Amino acid sequence: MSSPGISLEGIVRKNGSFTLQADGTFQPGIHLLTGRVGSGKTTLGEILAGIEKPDQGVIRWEGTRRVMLLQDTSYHVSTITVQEEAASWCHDTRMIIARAGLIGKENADIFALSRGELRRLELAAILTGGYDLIILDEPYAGLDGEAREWVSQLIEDHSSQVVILISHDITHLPSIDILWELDNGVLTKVGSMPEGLTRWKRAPPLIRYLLNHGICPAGLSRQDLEEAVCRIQE
Amino acid sequence: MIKIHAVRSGILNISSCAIKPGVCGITGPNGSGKTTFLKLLAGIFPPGTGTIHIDGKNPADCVIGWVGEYPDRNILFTRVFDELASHLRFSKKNCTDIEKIVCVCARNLGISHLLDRAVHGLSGGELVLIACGAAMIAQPDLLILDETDSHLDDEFCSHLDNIIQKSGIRYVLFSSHRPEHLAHADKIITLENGEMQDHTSSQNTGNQGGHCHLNDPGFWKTVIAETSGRDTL
Repeated sequence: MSSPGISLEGIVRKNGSFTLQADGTFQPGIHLLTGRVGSGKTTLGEILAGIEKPDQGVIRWEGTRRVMLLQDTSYHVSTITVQEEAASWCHDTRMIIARAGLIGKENADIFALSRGELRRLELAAILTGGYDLIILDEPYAGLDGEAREWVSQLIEDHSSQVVILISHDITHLPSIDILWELDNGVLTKVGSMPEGLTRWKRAPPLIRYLLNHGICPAGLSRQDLEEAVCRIQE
Repeated sequence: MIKIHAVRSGILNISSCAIKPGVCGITGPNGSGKTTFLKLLAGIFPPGTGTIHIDGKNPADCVIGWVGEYPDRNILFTRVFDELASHLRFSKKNCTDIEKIVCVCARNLGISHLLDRAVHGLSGGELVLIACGAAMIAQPDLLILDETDSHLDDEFCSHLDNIIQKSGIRYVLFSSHRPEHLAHADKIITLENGEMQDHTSSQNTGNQGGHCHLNDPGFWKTVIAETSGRDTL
């Protein structure tokens, strides 16, 4: 069963001189939340996940279970071994370990894993858990190219849920449905693909480069971007 | 010149490597030995066998600046000014000089307005600038950034790159998974299973055709050159 989505009405959250303002509805699908460093992406993710409370405004959420992958994955860890950590998520422990590619390492000390392995384990647990709102804050950070592709494939299997991806790295994304932008604390729904790309206010250099050459990618997946780049090189 | 000779340590196995002054990027899959390589160069531990010399000196006898993936984990003090001043205070400089040096450092980084702020509650990007400032204020022989770019956007990385280039630090080594950031390096070292794969200048990687553009730092150099200039922080 897919969830009806989560909507934000008049959300305001202040931190010193910084103010976050957000309105909008996140329907089931894969959303990309972009914005410069310090624009409030993590704070908004925490409010959507229910980890933080806004100062003002209403969050309407009719689903049942929500989860957020934190930037610093080691903050998720609550046990000692891989087996215990996978079991702590109260789902199919074996499937979590298999998806994370950690079969044979069940008894390994969780802090003896590499950065990439630990991130794969927590991601596999989150994406196996049947959550209907999934917020992933920089899921690609610290992962090599192969692991990034693994993450994107796993995410694509969950497009019937609400998946909100926060990422600066746009080179290994799955197929994105809706693009959102935070600029100086204000949330804007930029739109769906590919039309949204031309309205992206602070588009990253690669997108600006493509548009400057008169080429609009079909979307933001790795394949879409590679095809667009090839059209320039021809 | 940084000279590495017959080094074996953990997974690392490097017969010979020389790094000229400038910016050098280290890349390679998870678990290929990047952080071990950087720790050896920082003198955090000596190699099992072999030698490493930075301009003829042992790494442990050099001044090293280190910034990691989560800079706030290494921050010691609650106020930004105190964090930037920490190296100078630990080396017993006098207070008037410390204040002057900290103010210049903050101005160069564009964080003068943060000096009296508490570190807690600052944004991720601001924390990175503070961690870089605290490392650079020591005027290190070698500045190391270990996957510091993991949570940074492209413009922010370019901004940081400009600051580091202007700092005049002789050797800068950074590890990264992202070809768009490796494009900023004068030289790129690729590690795989602890061994060095190639050893090229990022200028001559060229376009490789097909599906390789997005992995090619040479392609990203073109993107950066054509889109920089209008970026503001």
